[in-house]
Amino acid sequence: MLFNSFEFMLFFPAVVVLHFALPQRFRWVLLLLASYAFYMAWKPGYVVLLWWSTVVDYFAGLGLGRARRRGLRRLLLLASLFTNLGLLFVFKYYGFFAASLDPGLARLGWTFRLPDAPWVLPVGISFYTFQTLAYTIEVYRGTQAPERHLGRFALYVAFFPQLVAGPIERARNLLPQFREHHGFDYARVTDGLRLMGWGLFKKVVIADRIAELVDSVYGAPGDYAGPAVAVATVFYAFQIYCDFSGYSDIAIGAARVLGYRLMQNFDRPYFAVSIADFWRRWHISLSTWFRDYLYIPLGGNRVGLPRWCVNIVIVFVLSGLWHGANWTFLGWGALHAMYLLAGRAMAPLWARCGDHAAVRCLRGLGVFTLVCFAWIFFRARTLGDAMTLIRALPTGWGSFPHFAVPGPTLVLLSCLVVFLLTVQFAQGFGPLNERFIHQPLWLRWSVYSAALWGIFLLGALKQTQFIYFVF
Amino acid sequence: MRDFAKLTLRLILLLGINAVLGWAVLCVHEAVLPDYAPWETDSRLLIMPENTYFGAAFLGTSHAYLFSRFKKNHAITESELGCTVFNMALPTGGGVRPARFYFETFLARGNRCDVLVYFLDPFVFFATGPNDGHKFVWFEPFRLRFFLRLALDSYPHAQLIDYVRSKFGPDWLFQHYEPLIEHTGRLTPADLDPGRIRMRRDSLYYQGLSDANFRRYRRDFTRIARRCEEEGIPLVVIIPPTLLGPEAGAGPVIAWLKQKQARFPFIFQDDVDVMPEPRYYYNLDHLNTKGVRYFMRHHVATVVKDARQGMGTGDAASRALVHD
Repeated sequence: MLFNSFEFMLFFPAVVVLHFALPQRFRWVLLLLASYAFYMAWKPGYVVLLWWSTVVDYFAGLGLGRARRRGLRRLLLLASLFTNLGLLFVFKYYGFFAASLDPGLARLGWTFRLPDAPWVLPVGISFYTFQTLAYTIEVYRGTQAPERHLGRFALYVAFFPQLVAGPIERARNLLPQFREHHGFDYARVTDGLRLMGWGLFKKVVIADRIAELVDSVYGAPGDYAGPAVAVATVFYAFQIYCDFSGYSDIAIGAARVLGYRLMQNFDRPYFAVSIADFWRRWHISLSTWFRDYLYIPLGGNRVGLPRWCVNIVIVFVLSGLWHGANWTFLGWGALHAMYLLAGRAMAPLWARCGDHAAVRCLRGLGVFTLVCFAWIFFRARTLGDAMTLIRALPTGWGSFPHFAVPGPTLVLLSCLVVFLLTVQFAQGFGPLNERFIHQPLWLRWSVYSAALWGIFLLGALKQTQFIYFVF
Repeated sequence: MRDFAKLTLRLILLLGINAVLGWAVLCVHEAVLPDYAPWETDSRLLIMPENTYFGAAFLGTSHAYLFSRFKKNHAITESELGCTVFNMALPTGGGVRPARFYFETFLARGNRCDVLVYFLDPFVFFATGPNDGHKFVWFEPFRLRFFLRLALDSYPHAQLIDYVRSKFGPDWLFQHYEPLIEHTGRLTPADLDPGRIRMRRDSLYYQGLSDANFRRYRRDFTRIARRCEEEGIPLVVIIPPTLLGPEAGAGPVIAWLKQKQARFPFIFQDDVDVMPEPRYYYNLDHLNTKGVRYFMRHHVATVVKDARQGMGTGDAASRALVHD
């Protein structure tokens, strides 16, 4: 079920009403059933994978809680890793693996061909497998007590607001909340609704509108010259941000309405002044996952320079691969690794330049340009397409770019991006929400009305899927 | 509980205020809209009167829509048929579903007609585009009853949203229609290029001969026929002339129509190849003004007259004719 669908408009209020009508001890049952219904609205059969992941990690957690022998504990951890990563490999990477291996085998003269994958990618598999893995690893490390209540653990894995596209929650944050009592708090509920509204605005008004322009250029990469590619790529940077952060806002807002706190997933990433800073602001739940469960176990930055470089490349290539089974994502991850290595080399230079506003601005622009360049790999369908677009970049700068969307639409899209950046700039001075709720009623209602009309009149209400659903 | 009630009330109030605001904009806009003639607008609801009697009402696609969308064509149609005509045919392949919505609205507004003539192109049964996907809501004013008719008939949500939303767009708010007077363009035999003909025919059947669509949309035709029977309005079904030749879907549609005549006596007339001269067309399947005059005089007038005369005789079977 999509957050921007008619079904969700009926589903969510019904869940909220029932949630607050039920006694605390039954709420997990309602939320669990609602979460499965939410997931099964897509392809009912694939809920089995969710159950499988849940059951394996539940028992792995219980086993880890009891086991004292190190060997047995390792075995249980490996069982969980093998199950979750195995699911991920089979359902997400097998097709890519087979398609990449077959030409190599053919070149060696082998007639053997791996069979095609008869399944489609289960929605949200990368998110919920990483979430359950985080739980098992924490239990293995002894920093998380095993959850004994199967229902609550199942709800931790399947909690519908963040099930299919995150944030990838940590057990220590979410699991205890399922035991707490959440009353109907007017301020918290309206706060959640405001966040949901802002997320929906970002998704249907900004991201989906921009998609028309971006799709036209990236759908026919050979047909466009440099200016069009550059403009489409810059717009894509805002499309993917608004699409994904819009989803996260709706998820966090929906959970907040129900009384649950989810972790922040974005922190104005395009205001970053270095690539490392960008990764502290972009998809925070995933980057901290890789930091906590891969980068630090590999040695983090407490190793020599060559080993650190290798660690960075491993983390970012795997992060790219997490996004999708395609060479383009590997290229995107590798490029970010290169940026980080270069950033470390340039750190002394930046230190000498000081921390003036002009320097920060310049650095911010540089980071944004680099990030946009990397988005070419992320958005292109194939590496060949990405190279075609990159080769087109220096060409055609003498003429005005031609787009498939009309001029007024281009102006509208630019205004929306400027509006987004203005809001985010203002957020830099403190939470806007805090200031907003102390404004007079007429002003708040005018803003709500403007947002309603904005979504209704400008939104692409075709129920387009969120980009991160396929990761 | 008090907080919950407070929030619910505030949400309803916020939505209500905005709905009233939107409604006010629509009412003011409609008050300043001019009184359109059929040849000045694509909208059928804007020109649809109340409690009015017509000699004939038309349903169909653009092939019939042009009988009134050009001022001269409308005058010719009324003069050749010898009666007043209200044309509800739709451009861009108006299908059976929209046709039913319009006909039901026509009757619900207290209008009557001696005869309903459905200029039926077989292709409208086989694709969603002319039916659930048709954009007729874009050029209709917002009417709550029409909206509810569409909503209760499970018309796609996206179309319902488009219906309301399009009324606040610049295309609707600042509409300005040029009256179309006549179409003098004409084809010559040299224009009958088999490649172009094939391309046009393929474009009409872009979903092929979808059996699911045929089953779905022929129910709408049955409802039109049943409604005619209930209201005592004779129904005439005519396949309009074209230079494209018989359509791919003509066989199954004609067979089904003839089968349907046993249940709902209506006059059926296949005119697909009665006008093979290119000079009567401005493109491969649309008549020019001269073509309209010829078609009305030689092929429609008689059958409409027959149907009108058959009215009130109580002999429904006598109307179950096939005019070849």
